[in-house]
Formats: sequence, C-alpha cells, structure tokens
Amino acid sequence: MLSSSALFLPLKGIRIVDFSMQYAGPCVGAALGALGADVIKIESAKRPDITRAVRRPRGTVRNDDPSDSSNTRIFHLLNHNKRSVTLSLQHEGARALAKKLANMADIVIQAARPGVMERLGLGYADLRAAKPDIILLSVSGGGQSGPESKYGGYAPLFAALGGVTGLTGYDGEMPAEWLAITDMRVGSVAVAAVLAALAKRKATGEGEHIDLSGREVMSTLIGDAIAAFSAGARPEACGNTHRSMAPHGCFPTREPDVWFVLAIGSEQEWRALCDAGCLAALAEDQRFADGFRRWKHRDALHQEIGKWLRTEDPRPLAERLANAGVPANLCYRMDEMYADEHLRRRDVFREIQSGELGRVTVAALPWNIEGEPNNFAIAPGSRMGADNEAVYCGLLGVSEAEYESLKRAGALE
Amino acid sequence: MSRALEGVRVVESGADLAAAFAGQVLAQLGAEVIKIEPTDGDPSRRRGPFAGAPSLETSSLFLFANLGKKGVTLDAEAPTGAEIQTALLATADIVLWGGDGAAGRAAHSFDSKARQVWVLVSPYGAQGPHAGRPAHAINLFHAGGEGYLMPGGATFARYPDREPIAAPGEMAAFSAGWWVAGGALAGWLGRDARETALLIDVSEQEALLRLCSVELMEFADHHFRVDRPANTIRVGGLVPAADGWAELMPNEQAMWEALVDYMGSPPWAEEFKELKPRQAANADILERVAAWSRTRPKDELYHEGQRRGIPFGAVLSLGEVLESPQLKHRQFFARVEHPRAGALSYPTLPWRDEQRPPGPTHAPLLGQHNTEVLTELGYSREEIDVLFETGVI
Repeated sequence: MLSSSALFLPLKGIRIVDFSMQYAGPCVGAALGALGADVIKIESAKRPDITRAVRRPRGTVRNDDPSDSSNTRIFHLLNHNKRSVTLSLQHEGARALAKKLANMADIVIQAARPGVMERLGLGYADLRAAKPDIILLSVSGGGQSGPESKYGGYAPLFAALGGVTGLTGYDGEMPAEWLAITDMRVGSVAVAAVLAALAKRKATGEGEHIDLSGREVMSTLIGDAIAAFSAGARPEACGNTHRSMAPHGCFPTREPDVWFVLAIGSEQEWRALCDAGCLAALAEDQRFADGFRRWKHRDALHQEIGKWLRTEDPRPLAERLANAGVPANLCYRMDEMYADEHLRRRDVFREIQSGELGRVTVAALPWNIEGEPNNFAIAPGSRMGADNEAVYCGLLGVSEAEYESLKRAGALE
Repeated sequence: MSRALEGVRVVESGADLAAAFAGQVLAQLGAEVIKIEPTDGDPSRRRGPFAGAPSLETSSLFLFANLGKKGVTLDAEAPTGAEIQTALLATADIVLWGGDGAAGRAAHSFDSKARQVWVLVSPYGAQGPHAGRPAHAINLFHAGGEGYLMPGGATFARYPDREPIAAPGEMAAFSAGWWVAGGALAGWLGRDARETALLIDVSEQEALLRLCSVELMEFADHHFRVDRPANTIRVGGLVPAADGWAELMPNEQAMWEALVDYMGSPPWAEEFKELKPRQAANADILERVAAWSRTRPKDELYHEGQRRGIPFGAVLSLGEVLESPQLKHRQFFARVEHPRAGALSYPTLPWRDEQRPPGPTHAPLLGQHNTEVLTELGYSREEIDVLFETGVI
C-alpha cells in the first residue's frame, strides 16, 4: 500500500458534482477522481444510471436490483472514485439541495439533453450567478446550441455525423460503424477540457462553460482529411491501405483470427524488414527497390508478403521484426493484451476492490509519472445513496430534523 | 477573452504525431508552442494529400497538426545545434518530447531541478521491453485493442472473413494525442505543488487501451473476449439511404414505435413489438428497414427521424461535414490562410465557451521563427546568418 504522499493528485481539494449518466459523462469524473478530486455523483432511485443495471459483460445475467451496484463491474469502471447521493429532482426541496451542492462545487458535470438542466434551475447562468468562477462541463452529441442541438443520439451517431464513419471501411465497400468506444473518446477529450478550464481559472480566476460536442470531438480526429478536402482533395475510406506506404496492411497468418500488422514508411524500415524477415528475394527484386516502386507494385508486394506471413509463426516473427526496428505487431486481442509482458511491467492493469464483487480491472490513466508508479487514487464506485447523510448533513449542513423530513417527503430518493 | 495557457511556453520536439497533435491543442488553449524540426523538415511535411503541388509547405497533415505553432529548424547532431536545443528547452514551461523518450531524455539534459513539465510521448512508452519500438498509425491502432474489434455491426456481418480494419489516417495518433494534451495539463496543474521537474511518460498504446476499458474489464474479470461479431448494436445499425448511409439506434420502446410509424406501420413490424424478439432478429430487421430506407435521402431520414424522436444519424461525407448547418452555427471550422497552401478549413477545439477563441494562426513555414527565437536566445544577426550558412539551422 502506498502512502497518499506518493500519489500524483493535482486535483486534491477540487469538488465535482456529477449529474451525468451512462458512458461519456461518467468516465470523466472517474478520471478526475483519480487525480484527487472529490466527486459526488447525483442520481435518483427512480432513474438510476442504467450502467448499474446494464447487461455486462455481453452474455451474462442482468442485474435485477439496480439499487445494488455490486454485480455490474461496468458501473464501478465508469464511476470509481466517486461518492453517491440520491435526489428526486421533481421535489422542490431536492432541487434546492442540488443547487446548494452545485454552488459548493468547483466543477459540475452534466450530460442531459440541452435545456433539461436549465429547466431545473441548474443551467450555466444559474450556477454562475451563485458562483461566478464555476466550471460547467456539458457533454452532448452536437452541442448546447444550434439547429440540431436538440437531436438525440448515441455514440455511433456522432461518429457518423462527425465524418469518421464515412472514412472508415474496406476500400470501395460500405462504411464501418464506430461503436461504444466512441463514448470513451469523447470522455478523454472532456478530461483535457476540464483540466484546461482549471488551468484557466487558476491563472485568471474565471470559470467557464465547457460546451462539448461529441461529433466535433470525432471531427478533430480526421482534421487532416477535412483540411485536405477543403483544399480540393477527396480522401476516402481505404481499409488498411495507405496512400503512399507499401507494404501497409493487416494480414492473415497461419493461425485463425491472428492478424499481422506491417507498415513500411522508409528505406530504413524496408531494409530492416528484409534483413530480419530473411526476405533476400524481395530485397533483390527491382520492382521493390525504392518506396515509389513498392507503391507502384503494391498489389504484387502485398501478395508476396501475404504468402510469406502465412508460412511463419506469427508471434515470434512479430517479436523479431519489432526488435529489429520494423513497425510490425500483431493485431492485439484483449487476451494477448492482458497477458502482455510489456504492459504488465508498466503496471497498466489496476484493480478496484469493490466489496462483494471482488476486483474490477481498469486500465491505468496513460500518464506514467516518473518515480511514482501506481500514482493515482483508485476507490470503488458507491452504492446508490451511500453518502447521503455525509454529504447532506456533513457537507451541506442540513439539520437532522430537516434531513428526516426531506427523506419522508421522498425528496432524497 | 482569456485562455487557459496564456503566457505558457511549450517546446515540442520529435516526429511523433500524437505529440504534434497535443502541441496543436495546447496552442489553441493559448500556449506559445515552439516546434523544433530537423533542418530538412518534419517527416509529416512529406505526407499528402497536399494543398496544390506537393511541397514541404503544403501537406494537409502537417498544416493541421501544427496550427498555431512557431517553428524553428535545428541540426541537433551538430554541437551548436544541440546547444541551442538545450537553451531553448530551458525556456519551456512544458516540453513535449515525441519519439524515443528514453534516448531523448538521456541526450538532452533533462534538468530535474527545473520546475518544468516534461511529457515523453512514444508508441509504447519510454520504459519496458517494447520501449523504442516504432509504429505507424496502423500499428498503433491495432496495438491499442480497438483494431481487433473493427469492423463490427453490419459491416462485419457482410464481410465476416475479412481482416480487421484500421482507423482512417492518423486517427489513432490523434486519439492518443488528446491524452497527451490531458497529461500535459494535469502536469501543469500539479507542478505548483512540486519543487522539481515532473516527468510524464505517455505510451500511445496505453492511451488507446484506456479507451477500451470496458472490453479490458470484460476479459480480465469475466473471461469474455469481445470480438468483431460481439462488437455490435443490439437494436439498429447502418442502413442504406438513397444517397448513402444512415445510422439508426431505436434503443427505447418509444423510439421503436416512432420508427414503425415513420415506416407506415408495415405488417412485418407486428412480430417485433417486444424488445427481446427485436434483439434476437436485429440483422433481419435491418434488412427490412433497408428496403424502406434505401428510397429516402439520408438527410430526410436524419431530420425527419429526429423530429419524430428516432435516433437517426446521417453518415456524412467530408464535404457535408464542412457544410453542416450545426457545425457552421457552432463556428467549429476555422478558415486559416497560409502563404503557400492558401486558405484551408480546419476543425478547432470541440468545445466552446460563450464565444469561440480567435482562430489559430497557420502552421509554421520551415524555419519561419528561427531569427525570432535565436535572437531571444542571445544570438546576433551575424551569428544567425552563419548558423544558417553552416547548416546548423
């Protein structure tokens, strides 16, 4: 067990109130909690976060008691490092508590459809009136304003609307959808946005409304193609091929569903491939004697490489080539990833201890702070409403009598 | 309007595109970002598509990934070049060191006493058995865990025997780049509490793996390995439109009913009133929806579908993204004039405050800020001339 002084906790002392549900919003608070923030998640028993009940992993039994988070590891994954309180926001008393809580926060996170928080009196203008330097993170598919802002959607829709789906797919075939991982991408950008807002607040004392759009996040990832289009080029989906590199692809091997990834972008890489791969005939072949010729004869080259890769034992070959400086690797499956010696040595797989459920494995934040391994906070998610008393009575100073009366009125459900 | 990193100096070095993208993000956040390139230019300057004729100044990749930065060229192999580099690094608040982190650090006087944030950025991290291995975007994407899951859904169903596919262009590096930017910002916030330099080693593979957290947990804790057939939407997916494709996700009962109504309540929908049969027969349902949707333009499916409460999205082409009324309303694209490449449109930060910050300046021309930066470092006009003539800059 490391002492907390060995942890890297730049957000220690920062309080976050998190109204978000599902994926893209909640994963932000979990990461900020890992950096030391005190994150309080607000839910209502009538509408719990669906990840408390969601069927995970694919193919296992559904959790029929959503008040018990103990058999959804996905809830812990997305909501670790958070406390949990419940409020039924139809109640005026509950709305007053939510406001009070938000006014004590440095950061509020919400991912409701544009307009919902405003109707509850928790919009940016309301929050700022009470606390001028508040940072509000609003996560949505298209942003809080604009003709399509009220549209509903899920991650695969923002990927389509952001232009990424149309650029993804086998050459000349139908596009390929971007599924759930898209949400995590939006969350990773939101983490950066919140950290930037905190840096700004520290420098200037000003707060900010971070009005983040999922489809814009996706478009930033193809910014080069968008710029190229605006200059008259017409980039299109091309599978695993590259506009100028050859060989470049994801090739079948002699083992079923084990794929070999190889990309050669320079003479040096080509020579390393020919040497380490013992490809003397290819090295001598005049059709492949320079980058332009390899590109020109890429179909023949890919055929040769494909033939060769089908005869080799893929794992040792990948090691040998990579050690020789060739950009080569297997297409990592999760079982290989989890057993990977390199990732193990880097201590990438962290475990949340969640009580009844046992461990929940989480990939570390990808920031290895020198001399401080295991550097982030890692506490499990909380049962729904577990922190009601501590937060309402302790933090907000609600009297015991008032607490009981709110409870009786159903405001704290 | 004030920005987060006003007055902060970032020095960026190395050919890593995740680091370059992070530098671009920090520049948009107000930092002064100085990019060090070799005298023959960053390798990405040679990557197309080009704005007009191919040249070191017209690569759309370089132009996008380096918006808002200053640029200096240095031959770091020459002793004087190395000296200049060390002096320039010493002026930084944040250093983004792309490429081989370990070597970079050893070679270039990382000063643990300076109160700087150093972010080392490389495909597999600066330490460990795979440190120093090279990777292009396709290697990275397939090393990160998501590659094995692509394509899923209807695309996998159509081509079940084909190979996994990569993300387009440099998307894998840029996805990791957002984590690099986040790491630099976390370091910047954490710096005040420290007396010494903060060194953050970012592995791009780990940045991508973090995005696959759910799939990791499913394997590590449930021994369930998500693969391409499992990587799918349970109700909905891609459906053809008259002029392309649309994405449909009627997850909730009301959304399904609205879809049935939009389709004119076809008799086949009767047997799918309940969620369970819909999930069991998703492929079959998509085919039936396709027979209806392929006569309608994707824009109609999108807007009319959304008006009816059905989560429809259009698969937009790049041109349609650039012309999107929503993105135009948000002023998401900046039109930036470049002396050699002309005016191009670029995505800006994917969030806005009450107003957008001013658009970024164009990516630096090769060596554009040599004189400015060397003058600041104390070199005379004459010395700068000779540094150029002798090939150091």
